[in-house]
Amino acid sequence: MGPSIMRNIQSSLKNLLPVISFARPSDVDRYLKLYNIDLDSGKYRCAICGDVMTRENIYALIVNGSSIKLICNKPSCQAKLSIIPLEHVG
Amino acid sequence: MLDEILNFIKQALSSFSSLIIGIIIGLVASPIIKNLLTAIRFFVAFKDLRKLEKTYSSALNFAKRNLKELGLILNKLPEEIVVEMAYKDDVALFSRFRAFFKKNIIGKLRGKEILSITIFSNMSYEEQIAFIIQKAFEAMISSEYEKVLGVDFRDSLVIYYSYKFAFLSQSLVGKGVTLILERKFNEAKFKEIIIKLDSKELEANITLNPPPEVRPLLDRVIIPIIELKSQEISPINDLSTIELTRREMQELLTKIAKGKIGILFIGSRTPEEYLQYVKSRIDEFEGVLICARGKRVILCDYLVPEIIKEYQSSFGIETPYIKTFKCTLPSEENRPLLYKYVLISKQSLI
Repeated sequence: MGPSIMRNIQSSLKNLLPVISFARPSDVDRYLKLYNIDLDSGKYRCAICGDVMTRENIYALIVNGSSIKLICNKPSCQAKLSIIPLEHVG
Repeated sequence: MLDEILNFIKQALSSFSSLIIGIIIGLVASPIIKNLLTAIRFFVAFKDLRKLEKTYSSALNFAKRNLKELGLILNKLPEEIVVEMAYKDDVALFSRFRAFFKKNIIGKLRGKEILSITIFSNMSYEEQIAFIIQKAFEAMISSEYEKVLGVDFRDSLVIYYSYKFAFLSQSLVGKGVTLILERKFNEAKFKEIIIKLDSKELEANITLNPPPEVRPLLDRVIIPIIELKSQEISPINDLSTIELTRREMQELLTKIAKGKIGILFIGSRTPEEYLQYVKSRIDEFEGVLICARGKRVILCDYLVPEIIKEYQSSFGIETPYIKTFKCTLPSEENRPLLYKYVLISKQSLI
């Protein structure tokens, strides 16, 4: 890999600022309202396993501009949650 | 009688005036006390949220110091994170002013893309710190490593580095966080192998020559080999090739951990000296792993046929097993540098 390719990769990857909130499960409704997410519509699915999201199984909410991803609370999905998703920086 | 009435009135007036004065003082002081409590809460929240953010940047700096060969991925990662809200002892740590300042002033003015991640859980404050450490190392030790090592080995490496960082940064993260990560590492499947690979005792036993720099084998040899192999196998999706690679890599790491493979670091000595290092201990090991980088790779290329001849003559093997790992990785100065590792062994890895 040449130096120019390495430089290009590096320069394009520094732009992300992850903003993390550790909320309680009891805060779910407040966040759903904040981002205007209607889980009752049944159209939201876990970005990892594809399960239908509910107030009870929501583990994480990832918002990037207008894109919203939800992750469910299955241990395997929790383990795969990345606070620095490389697809955003790669 | 009149005196008594006058005294009573006087006392009543005095009590009333004390009450009025008390109320006035209360009215004046309560906003001050309220503001003081708000200020204290703000500073406590600021300090505790800052600690979570500092943990991430310290973990990244720890990796940059110790795992230089992962520079390609380390340089991809954001240098900082913002923690907007956290919980400590069931008290929400949040500052509207701080969140606005960090996201809109610092973030947007510097042209950052804001990625908001909210995690709903009942984690304690220590568990939140441990979570940030573990997720930071998960990003550094790429999930691509699963192709080379398998899921369990990669997970064991992630939790080991998380624990090691917490242990060495206890003054920042606190003992509770170290204990949480220690407990997780104790459950890791490849705990024993990883501990051995990072031990000074193993390094002293299997290194054939005085190494050109003092760094644990895990950081200096194992991680770069995994990184090289990971880059090589990245475009491959054939399951049998991936499985074979995993088995070979696990066997190589297990043999190194068990002291069955000697390590030769190529530095500035003469070829004769390196050959002598190999000859003097050739009987003690199943094989030798020759490690070179930069211009030393030329000397490595010269030495490999000579060491093969040595294996042929010492053990009567016509063709010893040879495995080469070669790729360009970033150097300490972040410049591309050629790394080459050659394993010469009496028998194949699998």
